[in-house]
Amino acid sequence: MDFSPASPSIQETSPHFREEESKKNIKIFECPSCGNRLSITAVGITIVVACQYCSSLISVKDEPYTLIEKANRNTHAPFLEIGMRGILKNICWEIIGYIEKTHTPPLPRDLPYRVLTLEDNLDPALYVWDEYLLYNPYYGFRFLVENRGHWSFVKVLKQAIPLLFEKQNFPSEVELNHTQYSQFQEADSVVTSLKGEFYRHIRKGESIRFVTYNAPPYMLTIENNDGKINRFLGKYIEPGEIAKAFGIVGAMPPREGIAINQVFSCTKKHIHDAFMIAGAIILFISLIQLKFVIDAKNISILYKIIDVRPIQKGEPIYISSITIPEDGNLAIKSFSSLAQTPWTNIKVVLINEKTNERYEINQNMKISTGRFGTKLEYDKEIIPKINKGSYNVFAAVDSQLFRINKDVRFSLSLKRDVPMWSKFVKLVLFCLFCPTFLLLQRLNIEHRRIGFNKKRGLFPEDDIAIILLIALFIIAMFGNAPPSLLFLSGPN
Amino acid sequence: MVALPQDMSPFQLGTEGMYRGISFSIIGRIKMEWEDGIWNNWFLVTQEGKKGWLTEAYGSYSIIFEVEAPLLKEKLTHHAEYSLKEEERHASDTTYHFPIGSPLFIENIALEITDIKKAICIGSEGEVPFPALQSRKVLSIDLMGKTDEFGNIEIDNHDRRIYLGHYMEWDEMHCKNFRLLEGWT
Repeated sequence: MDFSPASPSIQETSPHFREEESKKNIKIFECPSCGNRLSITAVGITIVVACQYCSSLISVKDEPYTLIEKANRNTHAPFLEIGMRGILKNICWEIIGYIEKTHTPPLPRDLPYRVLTLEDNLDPALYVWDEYLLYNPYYGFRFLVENRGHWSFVKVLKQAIPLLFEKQNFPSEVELNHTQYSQFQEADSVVTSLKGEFYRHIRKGESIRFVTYNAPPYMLTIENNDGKINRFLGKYIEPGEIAKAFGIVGAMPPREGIAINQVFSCTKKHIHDAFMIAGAIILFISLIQLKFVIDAKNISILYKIIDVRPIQKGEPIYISSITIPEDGNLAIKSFSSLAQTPWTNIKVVLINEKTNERYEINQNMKISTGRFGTKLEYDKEIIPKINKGSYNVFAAVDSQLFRINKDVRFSLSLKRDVPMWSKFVKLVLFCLFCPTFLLLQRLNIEHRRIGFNKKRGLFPEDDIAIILLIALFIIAMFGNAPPSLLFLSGPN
Repeated sequence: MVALPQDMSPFQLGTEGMYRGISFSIIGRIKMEWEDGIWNNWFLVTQEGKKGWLTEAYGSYSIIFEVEAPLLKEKLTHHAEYSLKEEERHASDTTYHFPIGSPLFIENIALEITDIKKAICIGSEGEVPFPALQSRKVLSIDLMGKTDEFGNIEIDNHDRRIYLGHYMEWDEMHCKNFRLLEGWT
């Protein structure tokens, strides 16, 4: 196998490890604690080795190697093994180190830097992630970071973040290479497990303040390690790519939740563009609707005040005859000025004198009393299309007033060729549905990204509210438009 | 010449490469050690005869050239921690007037101090521009720019040297005659 920078290639059949001839450049030694053979791959750079058998920490900076910390228990086996090799981004990398980390909420800033121990009662349900140190002697170091099945390929960033020049606190947003990153979380990381070799001093319980910014698929992490600022830029990488690179034959860790830097097809720009397009269409149909409103003639063909006695309750009362000269719409409006009645129902019936074609409209009126006094309700309805002809108009009335033996007085108004709004409203709702749905979905996703603060979405995880939104939309589109949305009738 | 410790450096004397369109050749090395590790300073000469350094630390590379920066040098003279006298520079209770995170300008380029360390020379090979005596102690200050600029201030008992250049990736340097590492070739 040729791992030279010029031509990386690797067989993709099974997990890949370094071959025998490569061990010539590796330094072999015995763990001073358990006696097992350990190796150093990044000779001249590695200064600490964590024994993968007994978890003891050994300083390998100077010979003779010395024990930093003795441990007697085995750590859990990481998913990717030390010594595995794989090709990522056309470069062959060897896994030489592994760190498991968890977090604590940020410690108060006036506390001195300290090393936490497991006796600090860290909640095991907290956010936990794995970091793998990758090495290539020509290309240096990279990291693979895994959290709940989500992976990121991370490199050390060799750029100063501009805002850190001026402020002491981590800013809420930073710009890097013309991309805006938003602060996602700030915490203290704690090392809970170590294996392999590392190029810096590290130990279990080590705590480092860090802040993470995201601009999916990128994740920017800034660490403050006892005054030294380190910056890391990670990019989301699909588990399949990791499996292919390292020849993983079994299943990868299943993905749970949404990662900090996981990308969804719907970006902010998509939502912005969707609203812009919707806005343009709404503007266009508004102009058309405006023309309809201006062209509407609003011709009154009947206005009458009617008195109904209790004895006439429910009986059809002849109101008048009307003539509709041409096909079109017809608005029917009833108004009752009588107070102290909770409700009055009027059924208005139009019967064509020649064809007996029949139109029935129910009008419901009620009195409502609120903080601004008593409010009289009226009802209006539009018949979208009524054929031309002569019609007899009848009304059948029922009212709470009849129960107390009082007459009902109401006015009935009929107007033709009125502007209609129901279709316009439906079109506007239709235009807004798609971008609104995308926005809600994105907001829900952003709130559900995995972080150490257990975040819930805007809505429950089964997206009930989004389902309700769809249901409301269907009802609005295919159901009757509510009467209060109607004004004067007009051309369809 | 003292045998230098084994390492996995991909460079050797005679390695050639490119820096922003200009070819260079490595002719010497100084190996430095500090509390938390070791790094190499490879001395290079460009096709134009300009002399500089390729620094190699933790798999990161940068190519830098010495600059005058008289104003910055003058600023440094006012503070004991940047003194040419080793005992003042390496006092145990040293606090730096320009701590990590401080902004500094070198040739009008805005940089941020990212690391300050006391280091010692553990050996050299080939040609180097000044006596790289073993156990020579220096104060080394690294700086980073907003894109890929890299700066370094090195202070020993004789001089304060200021360098400016850029971080480099392996592929950018198009190296030839580099060290072929078994197991990686």
